Amino acid sequence: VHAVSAAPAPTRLETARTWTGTLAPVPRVVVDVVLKPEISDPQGQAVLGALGRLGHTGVTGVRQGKHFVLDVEGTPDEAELRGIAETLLANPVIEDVELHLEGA
Amino acid sequence: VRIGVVTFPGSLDDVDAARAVRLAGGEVVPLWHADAELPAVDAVVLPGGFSYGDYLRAGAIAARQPLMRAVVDRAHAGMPVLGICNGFQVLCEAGLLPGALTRNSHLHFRNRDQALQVERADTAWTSSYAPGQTIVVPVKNGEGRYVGSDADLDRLEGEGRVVVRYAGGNPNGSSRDIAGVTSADGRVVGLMPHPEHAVEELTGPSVDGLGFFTSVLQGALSA
Repeated sequence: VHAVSAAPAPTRLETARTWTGTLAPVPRVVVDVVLKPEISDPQGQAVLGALGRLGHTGVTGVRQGKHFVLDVEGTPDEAELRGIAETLLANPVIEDVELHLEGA
Repeated sequence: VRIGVVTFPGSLDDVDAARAVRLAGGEVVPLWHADAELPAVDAVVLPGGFSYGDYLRAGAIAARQPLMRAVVDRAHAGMPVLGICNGFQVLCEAGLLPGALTRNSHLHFRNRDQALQVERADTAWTSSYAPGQTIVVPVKNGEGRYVGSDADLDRLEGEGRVVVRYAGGNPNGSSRDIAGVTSADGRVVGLMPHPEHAVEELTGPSVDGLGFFTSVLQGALSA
């Protein structure tokens, strides 16, 4: 059994990067992209195979996706961001996309 | 007949595509992805390679470059466009062709001579072939698995828009052995295999690929 270590505390640099010079939080938008359920994901299957070989038999499925973090100036325009996510960051033919606004 | 061959950062097969155009008897017009204007050409070839390092998705960034906007506009007006390998990925990402190309089902890069069955011999790029003809050209890709929803694939098949299908083995797990498709008007064609690498006995497995380029030249001359 592997011990699960706690995530390290953020360094000063990482904390600082989320703030502008005026100490106002920069709105941050997170976009998650995953293949649609009906599109097979051979990369996720390869990860699942590796987990099985490592003895992690409790994991029964893996889907691999992409995670984008967008720093946005001013007030995020949700319609514009949704457009960015759906027309560039994801290919709607094969992928589903989720938007998460942080610090807005 | 003037055929434009586009070079993107990371294009590999633009020189071979230009050579194939010349061997077929066409005049090559080199095009650069960042140009906003598309000069007077009768057709455009988007070559293979790894435009923008396949970042984001293969073909995704190339499809949104200035020249591609002009290519899309002209394609909608009926200009023939051929996308080979990465060029096919660009055409799907640009919305000129349906479906998408994804990671090969076996996760390996596959490089071999490939038999294809020509199902449509009446497109701008395949009129030199006979319907049902089998040709052999190289295939080489890591993200060549053609996919779409079952409904979309049914519609595509129903409209007869599969141009070439893999024969004697599917190299990448493409749905329904689809190797290439065409637009509704038969003017835009994309395929993963490489006809431009099969135009000379010395370097190719056959000269079967030359027909793509002679097809568009004949079409332009008779228009």
